[in-house]
Formats: sequence, C-alpha cells, structure tokens
Amino acid sequence: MPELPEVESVRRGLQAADLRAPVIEVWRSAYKLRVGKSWAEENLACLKDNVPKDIRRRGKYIVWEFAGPGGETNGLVIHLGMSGRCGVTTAAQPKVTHTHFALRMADEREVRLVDPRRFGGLRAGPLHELLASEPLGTLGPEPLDRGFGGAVLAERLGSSRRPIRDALLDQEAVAGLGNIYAVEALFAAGIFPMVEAQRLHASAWERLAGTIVTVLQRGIDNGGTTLKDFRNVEGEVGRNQDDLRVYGRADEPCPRCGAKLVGFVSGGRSGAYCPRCQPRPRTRLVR
Amino acid sequence: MDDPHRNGRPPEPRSDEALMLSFRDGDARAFEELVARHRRGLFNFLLRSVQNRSRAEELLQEVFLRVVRSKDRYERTAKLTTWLYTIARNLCVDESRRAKFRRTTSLDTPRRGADDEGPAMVETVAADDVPTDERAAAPQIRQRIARAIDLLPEDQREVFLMRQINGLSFKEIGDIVGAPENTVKSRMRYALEKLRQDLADFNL
Ligand SMILES: [Zn+2]
Repeated sequence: MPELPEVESVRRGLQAADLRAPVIEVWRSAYKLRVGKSWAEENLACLKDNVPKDIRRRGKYIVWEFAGPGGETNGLVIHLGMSGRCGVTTAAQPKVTHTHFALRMADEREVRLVDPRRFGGLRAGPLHELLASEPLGTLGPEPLDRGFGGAVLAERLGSSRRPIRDALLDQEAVAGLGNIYAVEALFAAGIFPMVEAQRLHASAWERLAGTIVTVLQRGIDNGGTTLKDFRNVEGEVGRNQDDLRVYGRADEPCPRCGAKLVGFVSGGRSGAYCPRCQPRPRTRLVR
Repeated sequence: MDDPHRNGRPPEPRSDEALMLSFRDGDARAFEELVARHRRGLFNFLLRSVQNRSRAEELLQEVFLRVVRSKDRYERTAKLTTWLYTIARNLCVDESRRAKFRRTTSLDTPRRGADDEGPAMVETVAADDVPTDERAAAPQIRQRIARAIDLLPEDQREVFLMRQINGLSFKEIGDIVGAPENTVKSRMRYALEKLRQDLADFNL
C-alpha cells in the first residue's frame, strides 16, 4: 500500500503536468471502488467545468483543489489503495483495462485512475467539507510539516501500551506513515519495534521523530518504494526498495553492524529489526 | 592528470571504509581491493569454524555476496572489518546449528563436522599466519595445537581465533560477538590458560 513518499511522488507528477484547462468531462467506470462510508458518495460530477488548481497531499491522500464555476472551492480526494495508478494522457488514448476514472480537460488531456484491485477511493465536494470529514478530518499531524517532533509523537502515543511499530501506523497519531517506513524509522532510531509505546522516554521520541522525517524524505528523494504495484505518474517504479535498510531483509546482515536481521510479525504485518542495534530493552524506560 | 608519485611517495592506501563507499558508488575495482585485503583472513576464520575447506570457500563467497548485496545500504558506523567478521560469524553460527541438527539425527557423527577434511584443517593451522617458531615445529605439534584449539569452548575459541589469527582488537571482537570488551578479554584469558594446560607437555 502506498505510504506518504509514494503518494507524494504521484502528487509531484500530477503537479508537474501543470493541468490548468477546465474539466469538460468526468468519466467513471461502472465498478465500485473503495468501500466504507466515507467513500460511498463520490460526488464526482460536481467537478465538471471546474478549473484545476493546487494539488496537495494529506497523509496518504492526494487533495486536489478546483475552482468551481460559481466561485466555490471544490476538492477531489484520491486514495490510491493497494494498486491504484494515476497518469496523464491525451483523451485520444484508448483507456487501458481497469481504468475506473478519467477527468478530461479542455486541452484534450486526461487524468486517469487505473486500479486493478479497486481498493482505491475517490471523493469530491466542497473543499472545506472534505477537509473536515472522514477520512481527512481525523488525520494526525504531517510528519514533514514544521512543528513535528518528539513532543508531538509523545503527546499522541505516549500512553499507548501497543508495540511502538503498531502504534506508529495509527493515522490519527501521525499521517502518512505505514509499515515500511515505520519499520525503517525504528531501525534508524535504534528502537526495538515491539516495545510498548508508553515505555519510550522523551529522548527516544525525539530521536524517532527525527528518523521518521529522514526515512520519509529519503523515500521521496528515491521516488517512492516499489515492492510490487507502485508506479509514479510516468509509469515508472520507485528506487527506494533498494535503499531499505531492514524491511523485507530478515536473515540478511544489518547494514550497520553486520548482525543477522530478525523478521517479526505483529498485527498481521511483517517487519524486521536488528537484535544488536535495536535490542529488547531491559530497563522500563527506553532512552 | 594527477601523478600520485609526484612527491616521490606512493599514495596513501585507502581505508576499507573508503573503498566500500567507492564500491557503493560503482567502482568495481574497490571491491576487488577489499576482497584482496580480507579474503585470506576471512577464509582462515571460516575454515577454523567449519573445518571443511570447500564449505569454508562457499561461506567465503557467501560473505562477499552479502557485501555486494548490501553495498547500497552499508552504513559507515562500524569498522568494515567488524562488519565483515560479524557477517562471517553469523554464517558460522547458522552452520553449526545445522550441524547440531544433523548430529542429533545421527549420533555417531564425530564432533563438529570434522568428518572428511580433518587433515586440511591441520594444514591450515600451520599456514603462514601462525608464528614462525610454531610453523617450524613438527607436524605432530601442529596437530596437537589444532586439536587443543578445537577443544576450546565455542565462545573462547572464536575470540582466540579472531585475536591470534585475524589480529583483531578486543574492541572489534567485542562488537562482532556482541559482548563487552572485558568479557572478551577474559574469554581470551581462559582460552590461553586452557591451551597452556593442554599443551603443557610440549613446553610451548
Ligand atoms: Zn545492527
């Protein structure tokens, strides 16, 4: 599932396409996409005759602003799900299989969503309503925004008894972090992934906040992580999978000390850690 | 072009860590240089652990294969030697686990897989990294030394080998085996004490 860096790569690709011509047609396949009550009302027709504006990102969601014909500000939220791909083509290009959404602009270009597994989601409407309602309304702080730090994490997760890796996946605590980057950030911070979150001392939260930023930034610089499905707007795979230090590398040597990395599964998600660099803590507080 | 010999001095040899970083950046010759520097030491270490020449060769390849695979991620926090020997040691630990498993299934197999190539192991103990006076000694003595080393408890044996054969510092050995430096030093003391007892009749 795409995490913050992958979604950010897609956002940058769409931004670079510099789409400014008004929407002249909204096309949607007959297939249902992401299920759940926040995705039930797609309301995509409201985008017709809108002028595309800034493309932003919130957590793992693309939030595209539109200027409506009556002067209102609309938005389109795109969730890539497991296998969703966004691309920009000419309207004349035939739609490939699994294309579920197309936004045709007056300059004869189209933004399309191709999603074989249909876990992706779309939702449009007045921007302020989108931002205030699920799923955007309850998202935690953006880790790459100014002000993010150890205190922010500690405030939101400091009393949790869940394993720190699992706690970090809570989108209401920190937006956009998923399993891969959480596992990588814990390695970089030297924190045992299964330790109860409430045992982390302020210094450990500070270090972890720092490594979260580092691994996400590295992911963005590498154009995202492609383990299987992820492609950017140009259809290219990311490069960050080669740069992952521990995720998916159980039994391989630790890139820092050479010890054999250990795989684990928690909450149904697998990860890996270095028993030497991320030892199981012996004291109650993890510094 | 810069002439490295301009000052009449050969160029400073590059550190292992610098070579690893060049290798990461695509310089294949840097890797060859690393292999040239470390293959002998690693091979001796592996051979003494698994006591089977062809298996040691395979494991040596495996160590360098892992270096190649991890090159993009190698973090220059530890000394490269420490990193290499930690990787080699882990391969040996896996190997001995497998051997233990085999042993429990066939009770009459001799201790520590010294099955087919015992003599080869004795030969290598007599190799050039053993002090000269020992090299000159009779094959009989070499064999006794080899056996005495082999009889050391595993934790002492690996410390002894890394120190005597590979010339690693106690600090480095500590990092590799994951124990404090003082623990490593006392393992070395116990090892030397035990060897002295075992070899007492040789007056070494
Ligand atoms: Zn490590």
